[in-house]
Amino acid sequence: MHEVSIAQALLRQVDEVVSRHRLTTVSAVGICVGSLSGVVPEALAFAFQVLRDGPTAGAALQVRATDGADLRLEWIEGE
Amino acid sequence: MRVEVLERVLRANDALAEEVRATLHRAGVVAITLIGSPGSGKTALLEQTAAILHPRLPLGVIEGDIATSRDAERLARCGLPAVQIETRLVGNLCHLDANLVRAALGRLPLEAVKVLFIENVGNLVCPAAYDLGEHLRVVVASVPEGDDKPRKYPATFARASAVVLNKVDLLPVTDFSISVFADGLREVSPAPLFPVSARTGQGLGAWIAWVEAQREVHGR
Repeated sequence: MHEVSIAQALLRQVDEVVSRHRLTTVSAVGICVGSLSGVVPEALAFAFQVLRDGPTAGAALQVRATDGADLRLEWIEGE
Repeated sequence: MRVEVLERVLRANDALAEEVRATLHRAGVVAITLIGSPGSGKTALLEQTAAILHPRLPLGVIEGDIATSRDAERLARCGLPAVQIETRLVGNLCHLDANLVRAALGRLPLEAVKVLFIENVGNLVCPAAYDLGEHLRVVVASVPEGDDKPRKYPATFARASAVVLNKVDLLPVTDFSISVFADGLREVSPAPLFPVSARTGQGLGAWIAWVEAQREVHGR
């Protein structure tokens, strides 16, 4: 299972957006996961929950299931 | 506040994959990744491919495994420049990523290679998600795995440029149906299917011809 590596990449990406927009807390992270992406959303959500830290420590992961091979960070909700 | 992002999660990997592709392009090397379950015969297929093709088309190989350099040693014995990536040294990764491939390229004599095979870690799931900078992906399945695999692992088969079905010498002793396998593959991909036996050599000619044709198409 590679969802831990995916969650690490996702959290790095979230951290970049957090510093770019000078956010202090992130309440939610929206991603889309394609049915052909090779990623299991439940496993990714679990890895995300274990690895989230700093401004994202309390962030919820919201997964939008799509067709195709997409795996994208769509939006971040924060202050 | 809500920040719209819309970026691929693996874009860091994708950027490195583009670097790999550029390096290969400069060297005139066509790269083909093999993805398949442990024991499907990826290394055996490469050994047979090397025996036939290497004398007239110089090959090279990057081997991905969690542990041991057995596979790179097997292919080095066939006369190929072979580099082993052991992912136990980088967190036991269940797949190769573009960063590992980029590092491995530096250990290969690329000027002496025309077709580079990248054998991914034995796994039919995770390798599908990572662009390694290769030109083509080939899935290696085998008869004992069952004829339902394209339907069960659509993400992996959908991205294949070709599918090799190995161990067809075992068809008489299994309930495997090639037409069920082929129909399942057609549902997700138009990729050509090469039934072969790396043990007996059956069917290898068509596979080899395909590899040579890809070299013509992508190696310019």
